[in-house]
Amino acid sequence: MNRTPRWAMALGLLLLVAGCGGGDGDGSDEVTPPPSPPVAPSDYSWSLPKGFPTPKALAENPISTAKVELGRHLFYDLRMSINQSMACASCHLPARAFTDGRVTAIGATGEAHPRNAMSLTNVVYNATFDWANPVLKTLHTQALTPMFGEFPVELGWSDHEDEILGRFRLDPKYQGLFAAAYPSENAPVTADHVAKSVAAFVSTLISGNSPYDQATFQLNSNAMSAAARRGQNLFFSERMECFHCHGGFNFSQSVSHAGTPVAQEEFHNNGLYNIGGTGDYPVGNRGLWEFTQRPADMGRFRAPTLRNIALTAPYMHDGSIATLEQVIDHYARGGRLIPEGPFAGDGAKNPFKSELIVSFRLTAQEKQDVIAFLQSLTDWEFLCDPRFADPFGNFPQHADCQ
Amino acid sequence: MLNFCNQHWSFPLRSATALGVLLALVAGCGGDDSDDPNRSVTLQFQAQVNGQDFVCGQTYANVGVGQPGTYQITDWRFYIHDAALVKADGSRQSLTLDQDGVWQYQKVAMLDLRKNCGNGTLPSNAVVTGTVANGDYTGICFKVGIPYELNHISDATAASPLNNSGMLWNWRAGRKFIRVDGIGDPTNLKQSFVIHLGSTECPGPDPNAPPTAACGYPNIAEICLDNFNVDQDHIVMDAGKALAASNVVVNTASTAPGCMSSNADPECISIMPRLNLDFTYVAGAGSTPEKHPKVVPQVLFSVHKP
Repeated sequence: MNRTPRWAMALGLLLLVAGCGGGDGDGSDEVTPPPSPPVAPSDYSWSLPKGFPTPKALAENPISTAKVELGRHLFYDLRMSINQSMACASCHLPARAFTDGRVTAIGATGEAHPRNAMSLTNVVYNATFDWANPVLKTLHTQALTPMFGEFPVELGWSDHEDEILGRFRLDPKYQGLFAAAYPSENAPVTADHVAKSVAAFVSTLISGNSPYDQATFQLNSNAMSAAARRGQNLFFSERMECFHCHGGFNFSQSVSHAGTPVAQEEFHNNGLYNIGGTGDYPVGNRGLWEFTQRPADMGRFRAPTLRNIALTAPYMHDGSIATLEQVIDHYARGGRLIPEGPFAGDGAKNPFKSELIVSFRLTAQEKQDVIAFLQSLTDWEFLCDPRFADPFGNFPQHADCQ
Repeated sequence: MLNFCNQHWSFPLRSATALGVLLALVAGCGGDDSDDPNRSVTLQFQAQVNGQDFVCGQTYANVGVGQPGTYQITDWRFYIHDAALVKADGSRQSLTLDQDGVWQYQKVAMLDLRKNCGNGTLPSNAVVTGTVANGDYTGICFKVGIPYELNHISDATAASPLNNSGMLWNWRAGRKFIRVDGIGDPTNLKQSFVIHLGSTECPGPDPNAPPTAACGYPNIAEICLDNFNVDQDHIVMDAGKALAASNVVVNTASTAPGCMSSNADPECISIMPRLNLDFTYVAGAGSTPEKHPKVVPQVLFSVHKP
């Protein structure tokens, strides 16, 4: 699988030979780099928001218009779950910027997920996926988790793969969609192609036309309210320090695109828990620690984008903060105090908390200004984009889209 | 120009014969091309805390002037630009940096010393590579940070390493030139105490737009080191020297933890002059600015002989 063709090796040696001979700096010895293996040309054109970078081209799952269209159908199709009760969209509702409004998600068979369903806004720019999975680096491998996950069951594909795929194999509409997306294959209806097509659709969910974007990238100085502008100054101040974790064009340090050769993987402990003063987080929700077992990784999660954040309550990896006001209160204290019960402890004193989560004081007006700024990240063009709508009509877009 | 002797080729080799050929070729690269007016250069950087080698996450004793003086460092990255080698007569020859698409862009290079941070898989870089005119050099000069014209471009479209997300401030302020994150007294008080150097007082109404004019305090320090043999010596950056007059368990309320270059942050009074920068402290509106000149000679960077 990883074998390098002999021609590539030979060419590499030839290049080395060429490199050592000249070196006089006049440019006469420039050589063309070895050609890449042939990849099917993509007919998909990203209509990117102004100022946004091009997503990374994925050799193992090149995007195409047909794949995106197939993925859109699968994403919204209730037949994607074992008992035909849930689609991907059930936890990623378009009306809530692709979240579900629940504290933590519930799978097709009723099992509770320990984590809050994440927004799908701009996930194509994530360096890693899930709340704290350092090894999950592509959207299509991520999609396999809700499909096949057993602890808890989400869509319930495990042991039922053929049954679920059979629904699509027998449906003339899907026969056409799969044939268009995977034209050279005799039996294109596979779990791998389902995951890759859903990933292709989800990668197109790019939001970049909020009032903030109109002001920042489109230079429309009237796009943001005065309150939002005041809030923006607070958000980007060393007093609040918000932008250290929620920085950059996507309001997340965890970023990957065509222009980032170096992985920008970032995980932070934001002081939600400190059980018994030991730094512990609740079992099952310990973040990066679950992968590394390094004490310093206890409670470290990926800071998600803040785009469309006003629509994605409740907040945090476990949905344990209900409103944006309470999120600001949490950070103002520099961590959460849980006075009693099994999770009692002062999160502000968590020994593994990020150095940049510091306490701050805001006046009532300033707090409202910060919220106005966060609301200025809501992108109605994105929320109401017909390209992202449910073809079956089960999952409506936001009521204000009418 | 492509100089293949400096490139890191990663063609998988499947036979010992091929490996032998490759080794022979690499060995051949070392020889002097007597008609080449330029030579390749690799600047080797190293991080230390009061003379001890930096290991990410390790706690160091006797840092600063406070008690208990223990300090744990969890992040260490910085940018340099305008590197030049210096001859005995003081004349300089600029390095032309390899445009590697990752750590170096135009005349800017990023050093990322987080080798042992996290689970050990973070990318890191402790060298700057390039070419310079042949000559007998005895010293080196470079500037810490990013030049103004590159510091305030959008992170969304900037080339690597200028799009390194952990080094971003807001658009108007540009990038952090130095980022050293640490915790004073990590076993008890756990006081966050960081060094984030960057430009301040960059004018403009909007944090998410480039400044409308040059920053009031660019905070770009030039470092020149003598008695430097580029083929053998390391350039050491010592955070212990920057914190020599700080109490890393005390931070003024409502100011950034440690020093994030703010002219109103008292913790910067003892740190900024030790980054080879003149610092102006202004407590607040109506306060008389206090001048705190840089500490000379600078000891933040030094030459380490093998």
